[in-house]
Amino acid sequence: MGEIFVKVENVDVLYKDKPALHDVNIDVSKDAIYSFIGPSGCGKTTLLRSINRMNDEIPGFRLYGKIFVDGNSVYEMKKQKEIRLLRKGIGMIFQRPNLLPKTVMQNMFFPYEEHYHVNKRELAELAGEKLRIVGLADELKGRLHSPAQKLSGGQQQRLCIARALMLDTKLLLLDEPCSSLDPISTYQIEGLLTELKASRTIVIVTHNMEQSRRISDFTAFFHEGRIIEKGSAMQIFSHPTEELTQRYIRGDI
Amino acid sequence: MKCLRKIKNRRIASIVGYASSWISMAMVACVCLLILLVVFINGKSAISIPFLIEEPSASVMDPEAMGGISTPLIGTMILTAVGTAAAFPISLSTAVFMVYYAKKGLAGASIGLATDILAGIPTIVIGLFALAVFTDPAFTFLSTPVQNDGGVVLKAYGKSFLSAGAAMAAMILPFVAKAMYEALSRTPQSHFDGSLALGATKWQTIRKVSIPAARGGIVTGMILGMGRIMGDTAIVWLALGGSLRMTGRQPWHRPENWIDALRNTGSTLTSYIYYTSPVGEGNNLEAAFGASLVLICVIIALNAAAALIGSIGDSKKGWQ
Repeated sequence: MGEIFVKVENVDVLYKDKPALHDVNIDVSKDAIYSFIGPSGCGKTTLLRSINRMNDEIPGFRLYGKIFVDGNSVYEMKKQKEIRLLRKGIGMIFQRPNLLPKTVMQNMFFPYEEHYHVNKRELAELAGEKLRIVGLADELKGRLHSPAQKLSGGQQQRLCIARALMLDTKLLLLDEPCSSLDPISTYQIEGLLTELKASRTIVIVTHNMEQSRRISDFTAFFHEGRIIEKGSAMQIFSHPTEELTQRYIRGDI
Repeated sequence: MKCLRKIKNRRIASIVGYASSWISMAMVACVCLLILLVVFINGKSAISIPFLIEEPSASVMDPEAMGGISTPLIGTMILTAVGTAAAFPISLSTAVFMVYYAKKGLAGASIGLATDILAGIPTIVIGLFALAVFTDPAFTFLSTPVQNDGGVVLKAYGKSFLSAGAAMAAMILPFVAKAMYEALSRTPQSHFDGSLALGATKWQTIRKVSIPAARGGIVTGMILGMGRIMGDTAIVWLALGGSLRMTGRQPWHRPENWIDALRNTGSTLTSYIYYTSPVGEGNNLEAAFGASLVLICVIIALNAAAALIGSIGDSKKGWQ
């Protein structure tokens, strides 16, 4: 199983007094794709958002247990600055592309807006490199200074990924990134993710079992806040041991 | 047969509904047009270049020597500027607090309740309150000191552009804050989350993502507030005073006298209309209608600006 990048230890989550996760343990290997699957409301998105503390703003959110990212205990961070640094090292992609109503390049520079010492020319080079990685460099030639929201849905989502890569991202968290995209854009993003895992750890929440089967190395099946089964994706999809998992894969839940 | 009759009844009901809503809409439009028409017919003969650029004279009753409306027109603009300058930062920060910082607990609820109550207070009560408060010697800086023979400050005069502007700010605060609140709450959560996930602080996110995204609604809310300031008379009469001309050091339009003009009394188009109307001292209906026409034009222009800015803001946003 290689080196562990994200470690989730005995995590329980409550919203007010409503339990959302119970006794969750997961080891995410470095430079691999881990997918969370399960029916709606099973807690997979809650766990994903807990990794970079995106649930902190939700009133009544409480988490017990420990989450480690690259050896750092996420919920023992007290200072806001530490949390911001944690988030800067983690790219997050949402269900719908969330580009700002600005140009392509302004969106790419957004993560650096508060760093006054950064050289504009270097930034543009960095942005060009990241756009090449996501395959937008040629597609968007000559449109780098036009509004980002004029792009197609798939291009927007890839631009979001490029923007997340602008910071030195070692971990990507994706929350159903293809749920609003057409099959071709979905295929492009899946290809991109398999390329990115060469040097990055990826955790993806998906409703699409075929997608999970195609791209992930490891899979965890969630049901009502618990992990029912986890392990290599091949194992889970071809020989699920739990009855619930079998029923979910057959489409019975 | 029964079925056919049912369909026929439905068609009649739909025609009646359509006709009645059309008639009520036409009535609203007619009332609006009628007001505009009456003001235009009665006011247009008063409008002339001298009417717009001359100061009102002491004898507004005399149509030959009544002067113009330059100081009321400029007074309206000054008062609107002062009120807006005071209300904008407070209402924006109230809205930001309500949307992003108030927990669902006591603080948020009490601010919401307070703004609702403030919105319901009649402007004449706000004007009376302002007069009572701003005549306290502590507020001499807003108006002018009232001294006794020995030069001791007894109280503040209380009436000035600054104190009326402060009262106006209190009057529009709940409406403007509410409009800004709506605009900010309409910005998508995913953009807020996205910015946080990129490592921005909450405050940076509000400043760089949320407020720019809500800009159209924020500006529109502010302009609607400005319209209310321009239209209000009660606060003007109580907190700005009934003098038609500027009462500060003369000439008031010289930059070195500006501060003094702000701390002294003056007039607005609304107080000029009140003064020249049949119930006021300067009974001169033609002048009143002339000033009304100018005021309506200013307010229509402002509303057009609000609509324009609102539409630009929306098309630029393109939020999904």
